[in-house]
Amino acid sequence: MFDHILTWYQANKETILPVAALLVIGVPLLKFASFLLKKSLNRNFSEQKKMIFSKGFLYLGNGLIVVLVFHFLGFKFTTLLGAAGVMGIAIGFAAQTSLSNLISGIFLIWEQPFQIGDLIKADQQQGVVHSIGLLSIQLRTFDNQLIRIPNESIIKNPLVNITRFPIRRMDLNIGVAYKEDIQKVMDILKSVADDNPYCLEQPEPVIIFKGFGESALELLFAPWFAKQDFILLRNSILKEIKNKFDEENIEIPFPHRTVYSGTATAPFPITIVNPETAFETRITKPDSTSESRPRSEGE
Amino acid sequence: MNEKPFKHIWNPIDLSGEHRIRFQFGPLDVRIKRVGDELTIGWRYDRLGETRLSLDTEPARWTDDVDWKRWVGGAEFDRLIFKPIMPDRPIVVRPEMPVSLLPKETAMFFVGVPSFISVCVGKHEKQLCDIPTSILSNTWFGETTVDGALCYGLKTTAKREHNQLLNHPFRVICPIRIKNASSEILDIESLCLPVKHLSVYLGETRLWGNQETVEFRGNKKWGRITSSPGSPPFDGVSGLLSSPRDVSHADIVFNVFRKLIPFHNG
Repeated sequence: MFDHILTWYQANKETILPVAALLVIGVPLLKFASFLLKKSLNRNFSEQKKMIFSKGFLYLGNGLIVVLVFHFLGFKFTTLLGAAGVMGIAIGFAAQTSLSNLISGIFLIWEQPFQIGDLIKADQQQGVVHSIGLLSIQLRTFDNQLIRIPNESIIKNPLVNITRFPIRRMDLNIGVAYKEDIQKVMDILKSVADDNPYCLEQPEPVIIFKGFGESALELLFAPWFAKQDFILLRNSILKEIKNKFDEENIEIPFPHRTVYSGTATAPFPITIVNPETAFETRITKPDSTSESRPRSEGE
Repeated sequence: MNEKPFKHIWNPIDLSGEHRIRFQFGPLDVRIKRVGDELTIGWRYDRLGETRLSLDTEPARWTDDVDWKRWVGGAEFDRLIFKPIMPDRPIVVRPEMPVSLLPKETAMFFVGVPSFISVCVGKHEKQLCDIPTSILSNTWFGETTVDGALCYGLKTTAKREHNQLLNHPFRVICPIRIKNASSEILDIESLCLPVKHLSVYLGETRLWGNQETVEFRGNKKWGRITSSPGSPPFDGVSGLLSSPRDVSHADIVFNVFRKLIPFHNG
């Protein structure tokens, strides 16, 4: 048995030695060179550019090794190329999705809509960009899960880069009761923003009276903040608004509906006959005095 | 109780053995405990304490209502020094009422910038922490919300004489000479001061920063800020307390007076 192997080796050693050298030494050496290339690229290169350069180098080197191995094994490339034409069509159909992802990946790297470490919302998923590859990107979610999104999907669908710019705006929709003085509420919101150290002084917080809602006067309160202060601001400002509203007796109403007994403005008249038996109520027909009453649901 | 006056606060403190120190500097209240080879530092803020200045090396018992940080060292902790330093971000100064400067005129303003306190130990004054003396609000300085810099915001009375300033010892007084070299009226609504390259000096009664000259050359042109080397000629300034955080910039050219273009829904 050993003699057979030895004879076969002696007969083919001009092929075996270079092929073995390419596979045993060439492939690890190529990986090492790719690693060195990634490390040596300076700070002007973004993380994804570094990764693409090193991976491109690795794929090119691997392709070259495969060609050389086939060459040493005695394959004729003219025959291979002929076969490749026929196979290409089959492979093209089979690898349609991969090719689409690959081309999308190249566009993503060129366009750079996000970088590693950015917080993005893509394909109904939100997370921090963990890696950007030629076929897919990987997101790390806030509950520490990894989501792989194919590049084709990123290119086809709208993408939101939440942390692209150094400052952001936090939009808070606030409703107050119809009885409240809107200007007073706006002044209170402004003072809350002024007192919170995470709200930027400039740009000034946006405070807009949006309109008359079903159950409340609706306002948009949108202070600006440095993107790293998101949690600090979110946790503090809502608490401060609630405290300040409580202090100033500003009512935040819950959704409610008023039922009228026939006329547009008169409230549904309910009379408590005896506080001891509060549930025993008597429903009466609205009289002329109730017409002039305000639209209060507190009666 | 052993309190030290303003000038001696900045001298090194012997912390060998077991020690407790309480340092109240404006709104900042720092407490330091040395036990064996450990040093514990805690701090809190009191908004009403703007005129406070005391270093008590034998304080009475205190309540531990602060967030503590702990360092393990050794002989390094035998020597402790407090150093006032300038904030780590530019300051956007806004006068309480807008000020305008006529063409070809020059005016001097005094602005009190809340300092940071650097707690250093050992012979080589190794910095353990860097604490703001008051909680500064953030602001953005730039024409758009994309292009600009994150700064601290500061409202100032922009006094013309330094002795008119309030007695707030934690503020470093920065003399700012504004020169309107253009032929337009300069409306000073806000001014961005890059303070990282300023040193802090010890005066008789206050802390001082280098004098800065801001030159306005027209609305469409960038301004120039030049820091005068050495101590400012006020209040009998005697010595350097701390070097700049960033020594690379002495002469800066940028749009110091630019205004933010409003950007919101609708």
